[in-house]
Amino acid sequence: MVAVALLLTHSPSLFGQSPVIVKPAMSDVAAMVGLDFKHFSPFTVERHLHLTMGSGVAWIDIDNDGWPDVCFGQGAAWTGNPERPFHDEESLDRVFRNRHGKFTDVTRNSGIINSRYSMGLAVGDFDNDGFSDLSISCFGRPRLYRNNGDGTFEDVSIQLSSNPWIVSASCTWVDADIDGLLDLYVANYLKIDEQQYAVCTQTYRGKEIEIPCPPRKYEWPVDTLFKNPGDGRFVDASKDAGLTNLPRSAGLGVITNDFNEDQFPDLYVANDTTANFLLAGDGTGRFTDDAIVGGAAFNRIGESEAGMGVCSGDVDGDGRLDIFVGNYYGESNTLYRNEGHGLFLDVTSEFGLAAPSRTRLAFGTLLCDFNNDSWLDLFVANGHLSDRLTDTGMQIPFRQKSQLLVNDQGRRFKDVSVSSGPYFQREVLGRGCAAADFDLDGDLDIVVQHLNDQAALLQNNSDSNNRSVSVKLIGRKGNRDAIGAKLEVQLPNQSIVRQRDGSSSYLSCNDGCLVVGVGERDQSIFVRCAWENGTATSSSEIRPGQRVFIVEGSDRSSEDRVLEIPE
Amino acid sequence: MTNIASILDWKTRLGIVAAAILATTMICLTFQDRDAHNKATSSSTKSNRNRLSEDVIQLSLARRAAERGDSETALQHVDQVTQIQPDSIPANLMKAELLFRLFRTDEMRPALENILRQDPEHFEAHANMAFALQYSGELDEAKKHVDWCLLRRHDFLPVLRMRAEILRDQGDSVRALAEVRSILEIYSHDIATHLLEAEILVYQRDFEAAYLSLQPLSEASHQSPRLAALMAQICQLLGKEAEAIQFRAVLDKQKQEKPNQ
Repeated sequence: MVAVALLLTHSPSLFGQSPVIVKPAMSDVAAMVGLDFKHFSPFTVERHLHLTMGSGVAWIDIDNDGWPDVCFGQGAAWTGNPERPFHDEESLDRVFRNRHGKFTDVTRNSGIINSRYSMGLAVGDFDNDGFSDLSISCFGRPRLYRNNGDGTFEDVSIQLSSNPWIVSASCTWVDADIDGLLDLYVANYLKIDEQQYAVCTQTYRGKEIEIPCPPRKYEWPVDTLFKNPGDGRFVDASKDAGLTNLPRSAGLGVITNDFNEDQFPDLYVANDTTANFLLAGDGTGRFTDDAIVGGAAFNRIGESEAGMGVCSGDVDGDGRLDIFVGNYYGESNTLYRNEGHGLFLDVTSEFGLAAPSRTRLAFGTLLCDFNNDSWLDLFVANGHLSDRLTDTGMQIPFRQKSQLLVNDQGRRFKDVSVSSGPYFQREVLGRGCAAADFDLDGDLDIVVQHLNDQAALLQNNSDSNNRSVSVKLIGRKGNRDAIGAKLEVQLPNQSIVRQRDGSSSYLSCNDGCLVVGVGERDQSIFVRCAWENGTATSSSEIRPGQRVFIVEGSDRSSEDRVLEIPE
Repeated sequence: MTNIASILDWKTRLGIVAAAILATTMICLTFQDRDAHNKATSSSTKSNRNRLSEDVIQLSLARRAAERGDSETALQHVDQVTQIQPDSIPANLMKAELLFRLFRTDEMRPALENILRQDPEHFEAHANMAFALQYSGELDEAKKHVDWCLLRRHDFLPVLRMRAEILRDQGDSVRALAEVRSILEIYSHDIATHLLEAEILVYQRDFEAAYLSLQPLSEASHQSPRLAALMAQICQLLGKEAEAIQFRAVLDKQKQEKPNQ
């Protein structure tokens, strides 16, 4: 890790002290470590909408060596038929293997051969064989790859039936019926008319200018829940899940966890221009939309917004999972504080997040503790859809800067982008992004997809005395990747809650290994994992700096285990 | 001419403080534009149109487009005026207002700076500038314009409210609440200020106080989605399920009548 000068600032605290906030310092090392990926989505003259939406990225430890590998979704040129893309090299999704922090492109031998326009990626061990599998939603039929455990994947996409003219967006793994088998939820964005892909123009000074259409110009499809019966098949269970009863919406982001704390997995879907969904699960695979009742459908003035990326985490340290949604230019992003019992409040302004986001269009969103001070910080990848803004008389930037905002002890975020490294001065077309400790130095790094441009790998070079524990959860009764589990780390004056997501951000997926910042503490800490099926595992023997597995007790032995991950 | 109904409509979309600023600006514009419109009409009837300056016509057309809710077209007309007369104060003020409607707040500033260069004492320009700066997060700069305005009109409600909002945005909800309550001593019936008070109380998790603050205004929820949404949430949080359902029904009705598509 490159050590750089510690960047410090002081802020008043609740108790009149002046705690030090460590500003994360990040540098783009993609080229240095061999992560050579350029997104490919050439715009048509007509500015077909899906070409502006970009693709996601996922961290996936393909070979279980502890070093997170990475898979990039790739765009594609528009041929007029989503199932007949050009089969050229530059349209292929790409897989990079991570060996000690250096990446090698292993696409050719990976078995992941997809040249459709890829959108969302989600990582989950759907067959519970100990190796994480991968799903990719596309404009075209979704893809499903089973990890063979030898560094290769088998294409089992045939199990996911879908209309190829649907532009699917984010997807997530969720054990909807708590049977220990991961199901797949796909947020569907638009259905394109096979005969006539709607295109739009705007007249400016007597000239017709082609622009990407707003989503209302298209049909909005129902989202899809693919149920996993455990026999290798996936069954479309959308109707049984209650999804066909929901208002038609243009879904873009989706996350899963138990947001209303009733022990059943829920889903939150960020919809573009319509009310967001808070799908409360009943544990049988059925969902009810509680977003309007719960205050998580609209912003504080009762307006629906153009939701893109979404992520969740305990922002204010009260143990409940709050939800953050990235929105369109002119709207602010929205932070919904979880008040318990499925009720949420828009506290965006109070947390200092409204103004910094109003003149940006947010796609990727990450709530992660980048400075290991035990509070979740925020990364937002921004960039507009339309490259014709100035042609239509608007001085709105197409390329926009990404943002890093540091959490001041659960009370407020401070935009520290200016001092967080040169990347944050670049104007980019940010889309998907995902976090992982790719160099295993104990802090979280970020990979960012840029529309039609090189991806960035932001290595976290924050140099402070703050430490972390890295925990990989392994389910045995529940799903093996422990998606939906909650980890509680007990510090003397604070309880930290982190969750294992099935996806996050926009079209993307963080690494499954949870990196939990514990500040400057160096004594052993108490850790408790609440598994999705209601059981729990505890340990008081974990030391800051350690990397451990926590293994759920099995039925036979009821033995919970904490194992140090070997170097 | 911009009327109160259209300003109220924009309140729902942009927040009441913003709309109040707009209202002030638009009142100013209304008189200037009415004059321009009269000139245009009068000139036409005298078949003297050719002599009428292009900028007056364009400004009049801009105003008509704005009335129709077509801010894009209105802006194109205003742009034509500012090309002919870059320093036209009415045109720049109208441009700022239209840009605000189009969520292009970053672009408001050059137009307002232009006005302030010519007339550093232009009250509406200062008030709008304060709003543009607050909206884009430059709170310290925004506060300078707020202070300037309040020095001249210490009881100007939209700017008083903006001062409270800036405190809230700076994370000082305690001082923001004190500020709001001092505003309510003067303007006890102002819905927007009551809403701001309730939002701060909700943030502080004092739901009962927020409920009591808004309860007298609940009739007005039929006009304000913001009020209906907030009341629905507060009632839900307080376990007043029946009331929450009523407010959600009001909100649903408003959305059906005016979907924001």
